[in-house]
Amino acid sequence: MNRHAYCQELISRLLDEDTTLTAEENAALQAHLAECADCAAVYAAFSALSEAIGEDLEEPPASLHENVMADIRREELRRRSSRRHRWTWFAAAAAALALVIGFAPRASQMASANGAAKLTAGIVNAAPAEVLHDAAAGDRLAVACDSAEAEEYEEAAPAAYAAEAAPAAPAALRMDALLAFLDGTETAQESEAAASPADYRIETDEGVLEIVKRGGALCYRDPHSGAALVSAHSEEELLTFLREHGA
Amino acid sequence: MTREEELAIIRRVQKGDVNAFEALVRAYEKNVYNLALRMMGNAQDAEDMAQEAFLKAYNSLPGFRGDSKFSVWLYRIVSNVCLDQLRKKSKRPTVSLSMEDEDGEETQLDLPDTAQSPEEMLEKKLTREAVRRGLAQLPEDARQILLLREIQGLSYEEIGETLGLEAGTVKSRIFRARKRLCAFLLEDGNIPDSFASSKQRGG
Repeated sequence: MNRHAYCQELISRLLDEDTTLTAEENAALQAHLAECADCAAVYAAFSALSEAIGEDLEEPPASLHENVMADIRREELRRRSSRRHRWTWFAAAAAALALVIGFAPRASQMASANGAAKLTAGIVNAAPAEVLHDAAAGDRLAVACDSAEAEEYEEAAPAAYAAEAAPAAPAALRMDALLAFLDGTETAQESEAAASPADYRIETDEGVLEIVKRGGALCYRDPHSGAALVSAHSEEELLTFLREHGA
Repeated sequence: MTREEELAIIRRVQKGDVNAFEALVRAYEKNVYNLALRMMGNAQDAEDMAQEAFLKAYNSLPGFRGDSKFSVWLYRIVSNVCLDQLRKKSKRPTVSLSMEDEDGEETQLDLPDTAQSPEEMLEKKLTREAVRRGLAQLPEDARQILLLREIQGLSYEEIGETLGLEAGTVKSRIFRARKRLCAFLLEDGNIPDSFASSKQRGG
């Protein structure tokens, strides 16, 4: 191998403080550099290059940090939303049903239709909120929601978030009718909802419940506002919640 | 930040502490940004890639086991994010460094003659723009490996780990990247005198 080419490679390693270079190799190279102008020039070149590449590191723009943290927080919300998803529909469904079927609301906020609607929207997280907005013709339920509101509601109605209970006897005949229409789907998807006609209807004393199916999940359409609310996972969950809320 | 402190932060993030991740961003954003800047060649792309890399790191953090250094792990993400983007943008197919250097080990870097002594050469500095231009014309993998060494200061082993290469391969690729960059700068005419050998071209 050409001696100088090999030297140049050693120079590269020398600059990188390659620990595999032995003391002897090191010494020999230094000696060579002292007498060989060509190799000394290469050493100078590589050094200067190294310095120039690494120097004057710039400060990143402040927007980088902000954008990164914003991305992360959005990501975290998305994750929590899909975890909470199972629980948020309880309140949504319950609110709708409470309106329609007239169960005694547990929280006093559920007094008025508007109040209930707002509260419903308040406990739904980011992604479903967009759904509500799209679904409702007049966007009555597209109230801004955030996780703080969601947490408040969670505290107010902790029973709603109890673990799955064993299925109990249906509370009332109209519940049976309702449940008869539930598929007991396993996972809720983020519903893309519902300007479309209902897949089926359930008649109750207070009015008609419209059910739309979206991607394996079921959405209740609030008959007053026309908004599609977040969907059910299973019959057991519905029963548990309704029992807790005065079924 | 010590390694232990860093690992503690990472564990907190893995448990869901978003704010803990902020400490990592603060610690690494300058290096990440500058790596991206030299890979991409412009500030806007650099910022975009840096942002994407941090998000990817956050999402991949559950899989980080701490057997490699966090910095090495992070820089791999950054340089790969940049590489992917460069390949998407580039119309020409990427040619690997090894294919292009057929003469390989035998070729030495030939520098023009002048009367300058090595000391004088060392004093001269390359202009930043010339180097940036030179980096930009390097093939992306050459750029990547050189930057990992020069900006991030990763050892040969760490670079090998990052890129999935043997240390020996890393050494020779870095050497070839340097040679190539030097050759470009010489041809570019920006540093005609800096690297010249002296007139006494002895054996």
